[in-house]
Amino acid sequence: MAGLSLRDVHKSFGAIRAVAGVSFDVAPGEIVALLGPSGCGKSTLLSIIAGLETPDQGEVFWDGQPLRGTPPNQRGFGLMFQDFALFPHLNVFDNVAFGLRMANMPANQVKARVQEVLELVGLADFADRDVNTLSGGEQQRVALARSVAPRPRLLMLDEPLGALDRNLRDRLLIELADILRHLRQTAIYVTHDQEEAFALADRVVVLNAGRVEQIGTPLEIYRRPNNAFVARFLGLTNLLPAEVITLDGRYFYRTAIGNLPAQQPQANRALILLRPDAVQLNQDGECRLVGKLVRKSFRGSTCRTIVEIAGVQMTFDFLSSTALPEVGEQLELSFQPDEAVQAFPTA
Amino acid sequence: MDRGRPALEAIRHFRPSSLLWLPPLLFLGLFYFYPLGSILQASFARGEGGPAAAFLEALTSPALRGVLWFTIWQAALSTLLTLLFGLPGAYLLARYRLPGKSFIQALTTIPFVMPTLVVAAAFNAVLGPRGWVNLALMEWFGLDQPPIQFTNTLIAILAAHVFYNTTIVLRMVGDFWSHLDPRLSQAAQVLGANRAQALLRVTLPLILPAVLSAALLVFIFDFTSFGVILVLGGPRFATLEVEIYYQTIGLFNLPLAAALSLLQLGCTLGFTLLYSRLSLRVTRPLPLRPRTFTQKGLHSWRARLTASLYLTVLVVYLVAPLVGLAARSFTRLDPERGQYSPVARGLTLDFYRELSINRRESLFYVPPTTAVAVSFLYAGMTVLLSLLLGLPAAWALARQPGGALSRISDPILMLPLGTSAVTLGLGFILALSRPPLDLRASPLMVPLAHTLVAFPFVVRSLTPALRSIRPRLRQAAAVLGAAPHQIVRQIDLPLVGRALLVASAFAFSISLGEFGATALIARPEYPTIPLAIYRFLSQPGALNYGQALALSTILMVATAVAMLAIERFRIAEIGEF
Repeated sequence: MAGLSLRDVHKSFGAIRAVAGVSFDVAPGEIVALLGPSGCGKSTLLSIIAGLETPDQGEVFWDGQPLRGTPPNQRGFGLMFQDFALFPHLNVFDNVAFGLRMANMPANQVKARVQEVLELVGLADFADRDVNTLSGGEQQRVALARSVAPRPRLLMLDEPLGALDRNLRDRLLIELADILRHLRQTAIYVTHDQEEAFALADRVVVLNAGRVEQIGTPLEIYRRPNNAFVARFLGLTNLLPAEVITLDGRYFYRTAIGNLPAQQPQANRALILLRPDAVQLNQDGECRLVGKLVRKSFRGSTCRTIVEIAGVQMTFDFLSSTALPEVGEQLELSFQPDEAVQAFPTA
Repeated sequence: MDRGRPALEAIRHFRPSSLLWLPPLLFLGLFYFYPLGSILQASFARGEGGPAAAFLEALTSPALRGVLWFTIWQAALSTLLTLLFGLPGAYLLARYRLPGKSFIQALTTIPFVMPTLVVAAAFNAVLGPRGWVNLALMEWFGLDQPPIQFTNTLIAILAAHVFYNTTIVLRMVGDFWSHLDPRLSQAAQVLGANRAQALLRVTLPLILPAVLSAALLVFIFDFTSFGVILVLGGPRFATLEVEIYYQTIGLFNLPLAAALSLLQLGCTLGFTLLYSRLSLRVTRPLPLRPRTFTQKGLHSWRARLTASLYLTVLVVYLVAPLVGLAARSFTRLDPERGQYSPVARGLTLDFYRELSINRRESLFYVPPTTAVAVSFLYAGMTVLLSLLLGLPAAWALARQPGGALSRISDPILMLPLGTSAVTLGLGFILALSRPPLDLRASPLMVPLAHTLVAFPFVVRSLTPALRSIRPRLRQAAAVLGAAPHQIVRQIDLPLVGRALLVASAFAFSISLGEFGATALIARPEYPTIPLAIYRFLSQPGALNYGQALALSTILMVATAVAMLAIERFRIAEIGEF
């Protein structure tokens, strides 16, 4: 198979299992995001793919060929480090030219290529600058330019926006996406921020504690999280423990806020996810809820509310144009269970 | 319990890199602690009058009590003047965006790195009896005698001390102040304080730790001042440091000199302890802000005028003596003694040409070119020795900063910094001129002393550079296609190489300018440049004077070149000096 494949990769550091049986593929031209909380093994995976670490078990393939034994400098991959790791003794030009010179590119071509990528990242006039005097955003661009300059067959980005402040991140995220699309770059993008992953990636690999929790397109993952961990990680926090009961021959989930219809329950117990954006402020839906508005916070296009239902605080998002009652007042909500409810079986 | 366990553990935890500590610690033991021990021994081992006789003499003799008292109050006064002169500058440089600020800051650092003898000669060239000012006044008003009595006065000592140390206040206080959140003082003003009250009640208490640190450092430098007092103060003034020198060289009263050394060491230690107690009390955790938030432009014309007036005075004060020195060394203005024919005034290279001529045809006379050669030779040996000893120490510190040996050894390595140069020299005389380690005839004696002084600087500039070679950089290079041997060539060597260059420049310039220890231990037939300057300055005649200035200019240029190399090659944000 073309591109990158990981098959059952394991890596431990002493007693710590950093990566425990990870497999996924990256097709040519595809951008895959590795998404997960810190300590989930994302950076270790990058080190393994780059050849900086050797897996204890399992194998990394490129175009079907195993990479074990190929040193990092012969893999033709690019890696952009989280802390950029710019060479402090080289200026911007020499940093970007480093990989080209290692490939023995003639000097005039090096010059042209460096200028080209510096223009690509918007630093055309920065060639002679000392990298130690650059701002965080500028260092990030130099690091990106340095890693794409040798035209790597795979570019890995390790939390490339992690060190930057919010405003700069939002701006650079868009630029980064444009640059990667423009280059049709095969890339792996590591992040703990779902917004970054969703904005950039064709497919997302959600990792937790060294294991793959889910692989899919951003939409698939957001619409249908595989399990409670993924749901929580995506900020879907309306999770209620439930027990399956039968009433009049039909299955229901019994939860603290009431009974919800269940289609084909797979287990006796489950965690029920009620999607915050699939609930309406009317009685059109099949299921109804009555609660008290505890808090509402305006977030631009949407308004996030906290509603107390039968003593449980639930989060719901409404369009800002919705006429919400005042805090402290009652409100009636309704939803379609097949849209709004998802069940994760528990033991 | 298994009794063999702890020993086995120790062996298992022993890392071969601990061996790196062996050479530097051996060196310090032999050339720092052993001499210090000899001073201790000498001060207590006096035949008549019991073991404490030397101390009793040091503390009861009115002359010596006078010396101690003078040492303290001149240092206090110098420190006060330095603060008064430096604090407005620190404020100005910290809080305002000024055109040419980095240039001004670079300029103000120059005096600090100049050897004392150069500074003394520089003030002499401007305000001394043969200096620019006095000669101009004599010329204009037709006077026979120089109207301004500057050398051999307290004013000269104070002026040189302020000249030397202002940059400490500018740097230490200015740097801290520039990161202090201006909103704290704004908050005070919103709460009804006027600008003076906000400064006094909010800003000053907050910057007090920085002011205290700067003041203490300045005080210790002034307290152990040697060259300035010896050359500019003349025979009327003596600090403890100068007195130790006189007692050793002039009177050969080694027990008394040793007792005075211990007294001085005790004082310095006491001040440092006092300082750390004080600074603990006044230091508060502060959120520091980047400079872009804290600095503003000068808006009103009055503010601009005041600022430019102050900066002009600052720059003229800190630069004029050095420019005056260089200019004077190329100018013939006054007649040689016994010469009655009119002097051909004007530019001349005579003073430099005379450096290599033995006019007195004396066997004991050492031509200054010899001093230049000796100085550069010693400096080269110092570079070699301090790198040889500093590299292993820095490597060990960089590799295992948390290791027990590192934690113990790090402060030990810095000890020579806190010991005055004359004390180090005295220790060498006492310890190394008798068996088992008799180095009197060895040409290594002076470079060893210089290495001791340079060692902390070398370690301090090497360690962060070695530490900066993060594994990340090697990985980045590998991913970019560098093979292992290319990584060594492209990453490791350039980074270490620059640090080695910076460390060498430190060692080199320290050795070139070192005066206190050298004055005690150098052999008369092999003087260094500072010693030759001192000799020429204390001899009469326009030619001697001119040669002193010429040598000083050479030393100044060499030091400036070394400092430029340090600025140029050190990696920004790395390095602790």
